[in-house]
Amino acid sequence: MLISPKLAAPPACHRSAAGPRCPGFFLPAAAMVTRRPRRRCRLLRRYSAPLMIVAVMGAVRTQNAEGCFDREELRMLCQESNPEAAINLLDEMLQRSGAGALVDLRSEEQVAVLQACGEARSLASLRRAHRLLSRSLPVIPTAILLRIASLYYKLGARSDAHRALEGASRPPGKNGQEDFDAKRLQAYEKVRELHEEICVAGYVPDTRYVFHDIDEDAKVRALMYHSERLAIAFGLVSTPPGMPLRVIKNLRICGDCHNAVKLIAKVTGREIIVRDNKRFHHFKDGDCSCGDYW
Amino acid sequence: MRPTPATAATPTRPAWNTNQNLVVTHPLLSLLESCASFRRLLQLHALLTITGLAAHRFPASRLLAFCALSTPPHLDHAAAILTRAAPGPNAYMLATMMRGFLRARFPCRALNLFRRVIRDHLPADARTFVFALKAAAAASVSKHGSASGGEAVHCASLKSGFLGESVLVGNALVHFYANRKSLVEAVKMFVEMPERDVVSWTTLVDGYARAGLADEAWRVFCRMVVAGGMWPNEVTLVAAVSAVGQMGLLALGMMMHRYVAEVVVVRTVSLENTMVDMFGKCGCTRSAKEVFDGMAVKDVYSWTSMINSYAKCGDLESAEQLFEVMPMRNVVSWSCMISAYSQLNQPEKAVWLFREMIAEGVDPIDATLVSVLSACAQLGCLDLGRWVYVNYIASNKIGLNLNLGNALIDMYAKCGDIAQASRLFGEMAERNVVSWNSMIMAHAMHGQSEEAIHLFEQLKRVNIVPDEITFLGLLSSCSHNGLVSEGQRYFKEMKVVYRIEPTVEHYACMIDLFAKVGLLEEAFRVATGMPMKTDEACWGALLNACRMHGNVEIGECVAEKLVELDPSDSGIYVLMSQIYASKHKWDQVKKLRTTMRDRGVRKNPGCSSIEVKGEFHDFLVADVSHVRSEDIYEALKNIYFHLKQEGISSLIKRLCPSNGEQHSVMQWWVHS
Repeated sequence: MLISPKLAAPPACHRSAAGPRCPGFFLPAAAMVTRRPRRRCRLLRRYSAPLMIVAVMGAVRTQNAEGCFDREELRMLCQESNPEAAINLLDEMLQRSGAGALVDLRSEEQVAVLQACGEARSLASLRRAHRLLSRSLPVIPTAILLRIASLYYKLGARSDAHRALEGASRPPGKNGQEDFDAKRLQAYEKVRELHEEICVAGYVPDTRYVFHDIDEDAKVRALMYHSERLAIAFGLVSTPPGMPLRVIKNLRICGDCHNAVKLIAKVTGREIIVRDNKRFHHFKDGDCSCGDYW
Repeated sequence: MRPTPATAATPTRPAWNTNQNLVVTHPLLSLLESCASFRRLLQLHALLTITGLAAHRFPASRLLAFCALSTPPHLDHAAAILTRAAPGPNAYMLATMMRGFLRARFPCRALNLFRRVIRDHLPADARTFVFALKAAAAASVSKHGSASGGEAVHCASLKSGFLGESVLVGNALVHFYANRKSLVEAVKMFVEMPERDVVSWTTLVDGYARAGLADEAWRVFCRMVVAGGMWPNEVTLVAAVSAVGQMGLLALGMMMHRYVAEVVVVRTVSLENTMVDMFGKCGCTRSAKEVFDGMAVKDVYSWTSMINSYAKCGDLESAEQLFEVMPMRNVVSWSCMISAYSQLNQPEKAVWLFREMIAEGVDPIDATLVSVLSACAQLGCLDLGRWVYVNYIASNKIGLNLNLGNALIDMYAKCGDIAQASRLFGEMAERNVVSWNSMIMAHAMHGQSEEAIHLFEQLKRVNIVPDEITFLGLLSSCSHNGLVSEGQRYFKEMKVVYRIEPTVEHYACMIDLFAKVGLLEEAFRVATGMPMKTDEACWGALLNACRMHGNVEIGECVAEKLVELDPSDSGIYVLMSQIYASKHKWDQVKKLRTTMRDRGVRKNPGCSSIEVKGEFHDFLVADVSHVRSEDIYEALKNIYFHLKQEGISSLIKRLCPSNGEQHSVMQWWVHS
């Protein structure tokens, strides 16, 4: 019995010894772990900002430099009549910067690429260039399409020439047509916006030009959607700011639209030229060249 | 004719005949006659020199002929042979040398040689003077020589006596003067000829025809047959038939056709082409087609003439069909078809065909561009017009000539770019009355009356005589700006100073001028006092002014006259309706609408076009009179997109009305 009490005591003594060690062991470890991240964070805080700034600046410089170098290289490749390399470069520009890369390309540069294809007598390159331009540009300008068609013919691809011509003589394609359709819908919205803007500028609808026996609100709505206003609205949403708009109307422009377009020219800052069945009207800065006498 | 050694030899040297036999039978000379390369000729020349034959005129003349007339020519070698000829060059050699210079397009050198012949009293024959006249004409055209070179040759031929002895020289002189459009001199020369042949008469007929004096050409042709007792040859007939075409006299054309069919055994393509063209100009496409179908051989000009015949008669469909099946086209064929579209109110097709032409790799000529620019002006297509200017004219591919300049001015003006039109007008090196008219009319259309009047004063200062179009532009500019006094002054000046009788268009301008400023009674007085029948334009201007000023009484009177002229013109009813509406006479408005409906008259909807990125987009006036029109259009839009998702867009496209223009499906959907 006496021996048994002695044997029971060692287990109790082991636990007691282990207890204080465990807390002591974790504490140093935890402390170290905590400290190290902090130090690293500090290091990152100290050095990451300058590095990021440098990286950003470097990226900007690289991007600008690459853009300049790309165009210069493109020009040289075209001069050397190396269309494959030029088209590869265009493709690379597209992949890097998106469609905007080619939208910014000047017409002369586009022509230079096409001309290089012609000089190298490379039909494959010409086709590839055509596809590239079709894919990247919202609408290939008519002049460029005619150049493409002419080169196709010179390289013996008559059917390709006609297909390019079809693109020149009618809406450029499904995407282009859808874009135009979308712009048309926007034009109706734009008409309403313009109406509100010119009302703020002092426009008062002259319902005397509505010759239906309907209420005033209906007359105002009827005036709002005259064809020349729709055409102008379409032009405003489809062209860059500052570009003159030229509209042709089959009938004489009515007095209310004449007043409205003067104010539209004023609030939008656009020169609007309307050719009706009698004469031309140049609207600019709220005035018309006819002096309101037509 | 090649001079024989006997002819070339001096008659006083009978011994030369012995040399003749030796020369003719010599194998080197036989080889010389079949020589085909300059290298071979040099070898033969060397052999001839070694054997001493080169010193004789006949071998030397053959060597010279080869060098001067071969392709390419070796003129320096020929000149050396001429210089070294012993005892000196004969007339044949000199004439051959001149001919060589002409073929190589060196007319001045030919003339210089002729002067040397005269100055040094070198041998000459009729051909010497013939070639000299050709050289004088060519030098005059190329502006490298004096225009009086031909007169000098004429004088020399008189002094030398060749003029009276040789019909060749006389014919050449008639041809020279006719080509210079100096027909008085040509006739004088013709009359003075002691002897004439068919070439003499033909040259005169052709000269008149080319100068546009078809009546005189025909008269000379008749004299040739009746008084001259000459039978015309193919060339004569071509000239005579061309003259008949210019006169547009179908009866004469038929007579010529019968004559050709009966007398001319073998008809050339040129003659038959001229027959087709003549019938076309006489307005008889049936006969033109008959000749065309009967041609055993047709060239590109045959097809083009036939197409042009259809076009001049307004038969575009037949012209198109023929153009499609042409085996080969040239730039003239394309230009002819494009011009037909442009002139027959199909500018869209003209533009489309121009693009086809470019795609085919055919380079346009100036006439092509004139037609294309006219189409652009009709369409208001500024982008393409600019493209034409930049790519062909500014780049000097095609020179800016008078017609192109005029077409560009008109295009820029009608496309709304008056500044560019004015700039081009200022840059034109040459201007005619059409140029001034185009610019004056441009300023008028743009309401710039001061500029129009200023141009008119400038026109007078540079001594260009104005025509009726000039005054039409002036009166139009006055009308657009309400310049009554100025308009009256120019109207009077037109009649009194320039003796131009006003046309109905001029009267329409005057009516519009008076009416728009409110002088309706004066305008009515002008309309009722016109020496010719008052047309729709005149009455229409007055009715429009009645609408402007709310004059019901005069408006009703004018409207009645317009209805008598054209009951189907919806504009009459619309304007009158507007007059009534402005006076709140709604019952009258309703009656008019009922009348329109009963008569089947439909109002032309307002349609506006705008060009964006080279594409034209048309808009029709939208009906939004309903109080919930926005909701209606929104619902239509939703329906459209739902249907599009179901894949029936193609069906909608097939249902789209075809009016020659491509409309957006969405536009059709909204406006149908």
